[in-house]
Amino acid sequence: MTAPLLAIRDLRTWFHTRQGVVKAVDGVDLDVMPGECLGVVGESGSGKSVTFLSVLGLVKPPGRVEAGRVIFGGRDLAKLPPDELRALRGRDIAITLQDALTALNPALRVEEQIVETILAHDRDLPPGRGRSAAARAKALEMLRLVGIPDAERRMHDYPHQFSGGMRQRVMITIALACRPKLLIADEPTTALDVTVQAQVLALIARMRRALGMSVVLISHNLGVVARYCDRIALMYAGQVVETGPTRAVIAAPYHPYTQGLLRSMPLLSDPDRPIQPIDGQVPDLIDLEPECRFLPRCPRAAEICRQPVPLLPMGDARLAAVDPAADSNEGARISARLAAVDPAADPNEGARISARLAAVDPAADPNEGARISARLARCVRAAA
Amino acid sequence: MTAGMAQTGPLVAVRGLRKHYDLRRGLRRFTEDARAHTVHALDGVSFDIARGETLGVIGESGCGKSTLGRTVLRLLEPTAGTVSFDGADLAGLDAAAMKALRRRMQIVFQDPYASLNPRRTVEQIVGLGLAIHARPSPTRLRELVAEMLGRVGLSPAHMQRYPHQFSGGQRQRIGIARALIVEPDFVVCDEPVSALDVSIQAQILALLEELKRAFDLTYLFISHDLAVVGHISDRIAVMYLGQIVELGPARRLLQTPAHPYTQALLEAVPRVDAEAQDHRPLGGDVPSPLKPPPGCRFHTRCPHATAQCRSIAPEHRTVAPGHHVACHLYEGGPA
Repeated sequence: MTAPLLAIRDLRTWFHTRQGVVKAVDGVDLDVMPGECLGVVGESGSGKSVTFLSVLGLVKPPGRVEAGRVIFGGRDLAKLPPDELRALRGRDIAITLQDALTALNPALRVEEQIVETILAHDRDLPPGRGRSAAARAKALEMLRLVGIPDAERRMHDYPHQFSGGMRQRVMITIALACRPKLLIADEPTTALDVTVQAQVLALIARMRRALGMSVVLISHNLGVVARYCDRIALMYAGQVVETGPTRAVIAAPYHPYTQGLLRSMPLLSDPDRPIQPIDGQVPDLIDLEPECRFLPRCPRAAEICRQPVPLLPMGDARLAAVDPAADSNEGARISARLAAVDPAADPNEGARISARLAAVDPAADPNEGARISARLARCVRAAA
Repeated sequence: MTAGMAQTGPLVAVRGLRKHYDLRRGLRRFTEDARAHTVHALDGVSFDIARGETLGVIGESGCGKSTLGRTVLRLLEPTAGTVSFDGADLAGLDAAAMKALRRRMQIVFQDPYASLNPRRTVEQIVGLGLAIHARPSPTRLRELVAEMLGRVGLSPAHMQRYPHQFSGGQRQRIGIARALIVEPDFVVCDEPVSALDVSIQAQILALLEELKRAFDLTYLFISHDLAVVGHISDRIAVMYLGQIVELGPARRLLQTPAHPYTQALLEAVPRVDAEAQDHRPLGGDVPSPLKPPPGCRFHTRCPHATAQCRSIAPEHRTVAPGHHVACHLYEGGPA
């Protein structure tokens, strides 16, 4: 198995406010593999942005990284001296921020902002007098690559002279100027219209292939992540609750939050499907009990949920933060195989089984597992 | 519910509605050309809304959908065109008659943070409309506010709180309570869920649907989110640069979109319920409403544009009963 490009282990980033300690990120484990696109999905306050700001050492007081390791290319970034971390940012790991208008410097021409990054980080520039001209040539090349029309003229414009979609392209240009190994795109299309969103996401996908880099796509929009990401991680109240291959997670989610999120979304393919909201709201992140954070909103909450919940392997490279005491592997294996073998099979069936096993539902019918096994056998025969 | 409900005909009828904003200020009105400084926010919009119907309006930023909602309610004065409500032309009404009608047409705003007065309690915010239109006794007013808050899923015990003490979803419930307490027939929902997280968005959508059934409401539902509009609407109008380019029954329009713009919009929406399909995103940006392109306004981005599209504005054509499209490709029946 290849080593991950970025490995986050038990990351905790807390904000020390007058009201108390806000545990914005509280024990996050995540891997980003070389060349993959990882989607990080969560609602506001779930900790998805803070997690990756912590990776880059960009959390400002009152926020503080309390614990955890961030391994990138064999080095623990949390232990790196500030100047080495600074050299690494922009060169090896780059980030684009949600609001391009505030992220870009309004008083500098776009060209200056790209050239600045190239001069700071690019090791391939010739020394001496040609250095600045070479950086400018690279900036122009990158602007053309991200599809800014009439780039030669537009590079002398200021950020406010660009439309929202074009500004986002400028930010992507700056981020990719030094051809990083990892791009963190934080809500790159949230402020954009849907046709422009499609352009920007297609651009990120194209640049990922062209540069062979890994991408972390942070979004509140499950649809965006479903279309563009190989793997998905769902965050809730500062913790990862489920990760896995995008298709598998969406076809048969294990975690009640993921299930609730999917049921609460209106679907274009079935507009008349009734939507089922998740009751209640995200908990206050101050003074949390050491229990499952979804407990107050969970339709399947049980006594066992009052204990801390680790991420459990669910087979098929999937993890979900469900009941640690349950022997859920059987149900997980079955649903994973069912989803893999028979795409036409009702994916909820497997999910229902594993979910009920996971919750140690006393009312679970033992024959249900047997029925699924039989169905699986039929699918396997049909496939063969 | 009211006498008006007994009548037949559409509840709202909009004909040739235009709203232009002159950006020239002061002396510039005399020195500069009006054509170069007029924003064509709405440019000839016509439709009916039947009683009990939800008409969804979809479009990207700057297409004029919010201006449409406000002009229909006469919160903005139209530049041209008419809006009839329950048979009465709003432009012809005097102040007293207009005030009486205002009780029957309400609005829920997009931003639950900006649309509630931060210095008023929830009781004052929700009760104000009723105090103006029905003038109940203070005790009765408080009872009615408490009842309405309960109806939208808020605790009447929170009546004395201020907006900042509530979450985004709860604030939107306050906005809905404020609109519905005067027992309107017609509610314009202007992006009521776009500022909310997915799980909270579903709560508010479910609430709007439930209240519609309970109070026999008619909605004009404005949103940029196709899935949301598709879910809640009976019919959908697609807007582009101040005009309706397509109008039809929701399911039909989503399944067999006729206008190239509607098709592009549907393709651009990332979905969880479909395999990743290779598609070519629509190029370019929406042109400036200061200088809408001649002919069909979509021709600058349309993959099928012809010479005709660049010079002649298309009329609305019928694709199927109740399904209209403004596109030259449908000249002489469906292409």
